[in-house]
Amino acid sequence: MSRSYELDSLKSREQDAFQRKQAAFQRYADARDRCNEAHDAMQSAWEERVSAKEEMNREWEEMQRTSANYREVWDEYGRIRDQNNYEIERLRAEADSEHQQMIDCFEQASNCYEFGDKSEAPYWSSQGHDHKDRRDSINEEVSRLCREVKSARQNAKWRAPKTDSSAFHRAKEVFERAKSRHESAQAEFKRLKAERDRLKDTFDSLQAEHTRLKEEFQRKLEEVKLAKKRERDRTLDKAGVRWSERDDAKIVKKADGTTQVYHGGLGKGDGLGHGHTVLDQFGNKTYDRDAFAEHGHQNYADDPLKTYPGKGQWGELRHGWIDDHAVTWCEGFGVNAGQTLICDGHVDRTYFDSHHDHYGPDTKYRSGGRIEDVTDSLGRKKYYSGPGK
Amino acid sequence: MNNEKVISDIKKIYEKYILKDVSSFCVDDYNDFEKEIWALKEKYQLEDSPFLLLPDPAKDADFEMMNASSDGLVEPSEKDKSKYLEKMRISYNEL
Repeated sequence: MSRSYELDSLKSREQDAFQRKQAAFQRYADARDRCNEAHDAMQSAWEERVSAKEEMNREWEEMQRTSANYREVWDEYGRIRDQNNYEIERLRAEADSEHQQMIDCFEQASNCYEFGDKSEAPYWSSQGHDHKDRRDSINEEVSRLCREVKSARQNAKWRAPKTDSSAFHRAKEVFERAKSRHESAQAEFKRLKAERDRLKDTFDSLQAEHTRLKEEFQRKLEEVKLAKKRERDRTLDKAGVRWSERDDAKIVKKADGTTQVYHGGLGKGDGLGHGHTVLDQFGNKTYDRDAFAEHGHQNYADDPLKTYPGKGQWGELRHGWIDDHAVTWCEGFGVNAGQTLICDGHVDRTYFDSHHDHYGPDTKYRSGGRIEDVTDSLGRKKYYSGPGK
Repeated sequence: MNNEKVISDIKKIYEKYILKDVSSFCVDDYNDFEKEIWALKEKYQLEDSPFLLLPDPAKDADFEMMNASSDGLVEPSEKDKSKYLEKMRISYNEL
């Protein structure tokens, strides 16, 4: 059976689609690997970001805790300071009053001594000294209150120095850098994921095309196989091959239009002891030999062998047989005496004239060679394959 | 001389079948030329092939024409005919 060009075309398209699908898969697989690597990098950056954020939060809480203590200590100082300042103001006013009364009493005592009743002078002097003592006592209390404020301030400074936020700010900078790296890795991952998805779509599309063409090819292949089987069955029917010999039968179509069927015997179709049936170009049986049967003319069909008139220095063209090998041939005469033209099969005049081999001695030039050796520059000697070749 | 007579006949056969224009030359002329040259063997009782009396260019031309005309059975192309006639004309001039 001749080749199915539609089947060949489908196979070619399927293979082309397969190659394109494979190339697309490779591009997709590369993109997938790059995407996975980018995902790992993004996850790593995320973990760094989370870690940096936790560190920043710890520093923030530490800073807040320190700040609360600072406020508490300095608030306490503030209360002491305000309370003492109020008392100091009041006592200073009282001390000023006692001081003024002391001056007045000493002036009164001096006046009494110099210009009045001198007996009253000690009284006023005593009063002056009382005021002086109260003044000094009040001033002593003011000094104590001032020392108490100063001491509270020293104590606050010692208990709550100024809050240091540098550790938090360093942690925050580390976090900001980690965040930036993560966002950059995330953007790269998203870009590669989009590329991967696009290539996956392309691959899916080509895979679908390949699957469709593969199925189409399989359907056509089944059709061709079925057609070949039908043709094989028709040929075996015409050749009359037994059912038991059909599976291993071998069918060969020759260039001359004949169909050679080999069957039976040992092993496959043309094995030892095989049978041989020949159908001509019209499907007529021209030769039939059973498996293990003798070779010989008894196997040929009784059709009359054809002849064609001679031409030039060549005699009548004849169909004939060499053993069970069909041939067409003619003999030369005159200048071609002793030479033969011959080809395989039973062919017509036109086909024979340009498809034959040429055998015999070189009588014209006595070169000592056979004619096919001295003339066959065209590469003949390919049309006869029978005995004596 | 017998040989001179043979050569004279060969020339006549050339003139009859070979010394032609390409357009009027056909495969039958080739076959007839071969046939009449070969007939000289019997006419003059030659021991060897009369083709051996033809100059070398004729031998080359003959082999080429055997292939081109498929042993004298097929009409050769104009190009093959032209090459053949040219070589044969040279061989004729050498006779």
